[in-house]
Amino acid sequence: MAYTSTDFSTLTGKLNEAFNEAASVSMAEWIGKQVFDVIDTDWQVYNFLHVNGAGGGFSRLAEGQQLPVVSSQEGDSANWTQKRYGSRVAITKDLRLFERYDVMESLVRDEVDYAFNRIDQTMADILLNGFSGTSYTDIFGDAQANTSVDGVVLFSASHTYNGTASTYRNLIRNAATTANPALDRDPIVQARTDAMLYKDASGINRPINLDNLIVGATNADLAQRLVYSSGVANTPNVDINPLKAAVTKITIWPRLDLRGDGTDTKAYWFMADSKHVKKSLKAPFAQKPMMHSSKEVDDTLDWMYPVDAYYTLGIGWAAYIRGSTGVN
Amino acid sequence: MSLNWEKLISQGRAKAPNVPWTDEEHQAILALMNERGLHRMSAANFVLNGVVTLEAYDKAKEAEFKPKSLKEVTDEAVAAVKDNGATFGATKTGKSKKKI
Repeated sequence: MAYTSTDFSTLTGKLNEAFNEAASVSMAEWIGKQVFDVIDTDWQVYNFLHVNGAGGGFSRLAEGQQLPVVSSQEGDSANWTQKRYGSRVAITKDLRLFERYDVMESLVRDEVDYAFNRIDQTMADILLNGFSGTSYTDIFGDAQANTSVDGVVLFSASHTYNGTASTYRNLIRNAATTANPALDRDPIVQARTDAMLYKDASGINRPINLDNLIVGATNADLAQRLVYSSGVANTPNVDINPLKAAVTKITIWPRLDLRGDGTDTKAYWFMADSKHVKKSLKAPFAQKPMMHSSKEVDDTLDWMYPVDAYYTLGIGWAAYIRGSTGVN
Repeated sequence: MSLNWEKLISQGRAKAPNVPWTDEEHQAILALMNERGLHRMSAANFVLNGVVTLEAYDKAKEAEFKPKSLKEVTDEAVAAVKDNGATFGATKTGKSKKKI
């Protein structure tokens, strides 16, 4: 029996169920969510303010002395405006007349998968475009800034602080100080050392623990061997592999192999401090992908189910994510 | 994404509103700071005026070249436009006529 207008609410309920099931699967497989700060917000313009860290405050006190007030040093700030993305799923008269619910459900599931796929790619592209220039055209055709809040490209040997001439690096180098080295044990160790010696704007050491190695599918096997092997490659068997304990997570993100504009980026690799990386990479969502009930029947007699989302991407304080193009 | 351009420019950390330094310019500023001991703002003004190498800076100093800041360049440009009889950034006054 065909789906008629009287079945509209029943069909909508069933398609919503399919949407929700597919969305929960996509959410679980959404790798960008592991490194970006995916938060819900009702701000159309999201304000980000970095605080460079408390300067002074915690001091030795004489008996009865008043506790000093902590003075936080204001860092850099940025505003990110929400953008809307969406599409419509058309349930045609043919599908309804011939009760092709299997196709209808498949259309909804595919659309959900595609929406999360696109969002995940825009997140990967923030990292993949973070080595040169000041902006790029994203997969939706919009200009996307690739500078951190300090006005310097995401991965740089010389990020700047507010109010001081000091700089810090988050561009990975090897022990010979060559930037953008290929994935190997030596640059992983050097990147971890650089991060542990990170100093804040006041010159105080604030060690960053790069415990998450982020690679594309092509580098996955090499990454796992470098980190999980009990011994170091090409060394006597008694030499242990300290990275096994230091790098506690390998994130394999297949979207890193190919940038949204089609550039081959499979050699690119990244390291992050899993506890703090969300201070570096921001993804405020005013609305995650959502399917709305179709209320109008189109001239074609298609029932249109809109799927839309509001989000924006931004780069906060870049110290907690490190990157290399792997070209050297 | 909109950064706090006003602050970044005032500290020599950006070239102009919505215009970050290119990597070459950024490295030139750092070289002038580290190798010639310039304050960041002063180094930024030299780079803004096209002095992007240490050699070019040394020659500029010899020639007693005084780099102009972004504000000075902007003010001069506005004055030049006004001298030519054009209005710049002026707002219209009076009632607007509705077009039908």
